Amino acid sequence: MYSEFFKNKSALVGLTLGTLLLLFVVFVPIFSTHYPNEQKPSRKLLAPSVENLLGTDQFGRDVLVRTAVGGRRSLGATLIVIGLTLAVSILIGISIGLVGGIVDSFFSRIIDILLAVPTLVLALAIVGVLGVGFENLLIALVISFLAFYTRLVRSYALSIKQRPDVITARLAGISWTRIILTHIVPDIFRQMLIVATLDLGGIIISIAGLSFLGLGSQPPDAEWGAMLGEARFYFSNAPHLLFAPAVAILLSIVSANLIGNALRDVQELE
Amino acid sequence: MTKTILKFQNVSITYANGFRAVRKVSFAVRSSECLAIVGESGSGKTTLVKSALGILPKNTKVSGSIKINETEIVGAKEKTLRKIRGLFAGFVAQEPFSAFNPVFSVFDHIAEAWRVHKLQPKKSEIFDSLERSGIENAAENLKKFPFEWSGGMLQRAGIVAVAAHKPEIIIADEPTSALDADRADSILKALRKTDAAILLISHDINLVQRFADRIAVFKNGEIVEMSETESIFENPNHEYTKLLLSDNVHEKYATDKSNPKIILEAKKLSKFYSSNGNKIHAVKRADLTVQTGEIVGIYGASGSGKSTLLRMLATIELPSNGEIFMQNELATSFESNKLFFKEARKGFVMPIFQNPLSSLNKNWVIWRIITEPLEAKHRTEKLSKVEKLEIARKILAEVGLSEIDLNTKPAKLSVGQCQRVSIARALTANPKLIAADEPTSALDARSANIVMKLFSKIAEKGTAIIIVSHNEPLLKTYCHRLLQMHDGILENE
Repeated sequence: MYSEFFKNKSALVGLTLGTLLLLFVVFVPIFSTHYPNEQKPSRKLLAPSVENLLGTDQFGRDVLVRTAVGGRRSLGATLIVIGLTLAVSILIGISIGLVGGIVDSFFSRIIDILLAVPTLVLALAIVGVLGVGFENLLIALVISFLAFYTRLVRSYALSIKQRPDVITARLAGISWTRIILTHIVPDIFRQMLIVATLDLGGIIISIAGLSFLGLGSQPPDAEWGAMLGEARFYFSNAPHLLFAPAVAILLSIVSANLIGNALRDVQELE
Repeated sequence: MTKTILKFQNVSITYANGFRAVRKVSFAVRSSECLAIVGESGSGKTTLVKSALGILPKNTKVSGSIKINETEIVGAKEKTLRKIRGLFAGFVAQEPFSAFNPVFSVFDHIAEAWRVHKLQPKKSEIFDSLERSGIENAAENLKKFPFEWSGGMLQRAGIVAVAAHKPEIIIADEPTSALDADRADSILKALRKTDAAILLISHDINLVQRFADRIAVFKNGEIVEMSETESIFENPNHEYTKLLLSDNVHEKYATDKSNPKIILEAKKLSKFYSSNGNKIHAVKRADLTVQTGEIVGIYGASGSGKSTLLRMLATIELPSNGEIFMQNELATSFESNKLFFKEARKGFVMPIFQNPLSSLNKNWVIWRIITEPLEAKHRTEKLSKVEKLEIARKILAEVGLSEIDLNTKPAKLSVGQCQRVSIARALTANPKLIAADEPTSALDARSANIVMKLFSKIAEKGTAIIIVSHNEPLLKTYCHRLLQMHDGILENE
């Protein structure tokens, strides 16, 4: 599968974009002479120049270095949300899919209730209960995405349980633990990786959107959504403040979608 | 002069991974004639069919010319292909349960043949066509879902959908491999009644002899011989054609049973399922004993309950009534959901499934698949990778696959080879009983004979084998005893 993946054009473009973004967020703050939270009131709202390649914001802070540092937070948070959601959903989904009966019915009804509420609305409600803050935002997003992922993992587990190779393993005396670790988890992980990769864009937007509303990162921390939220007040006289985080979000989503599409295409070929 | 409906001219097809599946093939199908393409699994027949309909995977290279009614298919845009599919060229798939969407009623599926071309489906025409093809109470049955129909009925419904717009050609890819002989005949009769030209792909030589006007013999992506049906059977020219025809001749294959003991006994078995408050009896009554080294064949029509019975005997499903004894110990009983005989989960009984590709983990290499039973928790000896490779090599040699690379994945093997890998995996568990469900239905005649001879060799060493199949001639050749399943009841021969 992996050799076909690296031959796929979408994969190559997506990986290139993703790599460039990663290099940007990792190395720009290291090599820049500006600090992300360093305020210089005399240099506020300046257009892009040699000294400040993407200009300065309302507090005179360098937009380039804040975009890079913000990217660490945005992309890092996205990976944490997706990683936690995958881990928990695989654990719960496989358990209820294999146990079945009343346990499966009970958890399935809870999932149904959670799925009835739109993801962002659910995340808003959870942040409302837990309080504003970046960590609470991530918890809210994990819980919001968990229902869909768990439902998907459960249905994969149910179908893999009936597969002839799993039935054969069972009759041969292979333990359920071994069947789960060698047949079920690897297959489910392969499927869910594609789903997760295609969802990366949505998660980036969710984090940015909720931060834009002031529910995520709090000042002075840099984060793409929060930067967009602040920039909207200065759009008429400093439009450059919007472009940097917006383009960064756009490139992240494009990269994630291209990689996700390529994974799906390669899996279909198999 | 009869019109040419489908024409292949110097067509070669190479997949994206470099594999050349079809090599410079040329043939034509005339109006109202049936041209059958026969050959081994993996010879390229299905690739040919897909190329005619323009449904090969992306990045597959096709050279040459394929024309349906003078419209060029190679390189055609999707818009052009959509106008051909359904209206000029129909397709009947191999496996009807996969071809029908399980969440739509049978009526919706058939009606789709009209709706995709923005036409109104004609209910009366659909009802009449189904009644003419032998499906009674069409109006009531059409409201049901595909899983509530039998394979034969569903295949006939598929033909009604395909023939909706009276296409000039119908391409049928192994349309009867999942059906018993009687149903297979009725399907082919239904196809010929449509008056369309037919391109029939099949590995069933007997069927082809009865229904095709001409036969093209396919090997390794090439046509090695093509002629009128009578001429092929009476005077085959090519060595491969002679080999194919000889594989179809079944002479009684004698096997020896010595010191037989009863390994399995089933008493008053039955199984029913509930659907919308109704009880559907899949198995009404089955009594059976099987001895060590015995090969028992169970044949019957599609939907007679053979597979359900086999699943109960293999303890994959519990019976609704009755008891199963293994080695004289109670294994299952309708009085309890428990499996009493612990050995049934220690490799005592091993299954062989109909579709070999789906019964192997496609992400694992062959040696790992074959040696998986050695990881069972009741086996205390822990083997190293080198030891497992050696065991895999020995067992593959026993099943006639010594030339296979142990690090290959199932997708690189033919269907027949995959079935032998399944058998190798079963042998690793050292079973007392093998339960084989239609083990040869997906195989060509050569591969089917190889697999059945393998079963005979295994039985000689003392393993009992129960084989469920709709291929009565094959079972008569290789089984010690033959039983018939009819309408859920197991009858003695």
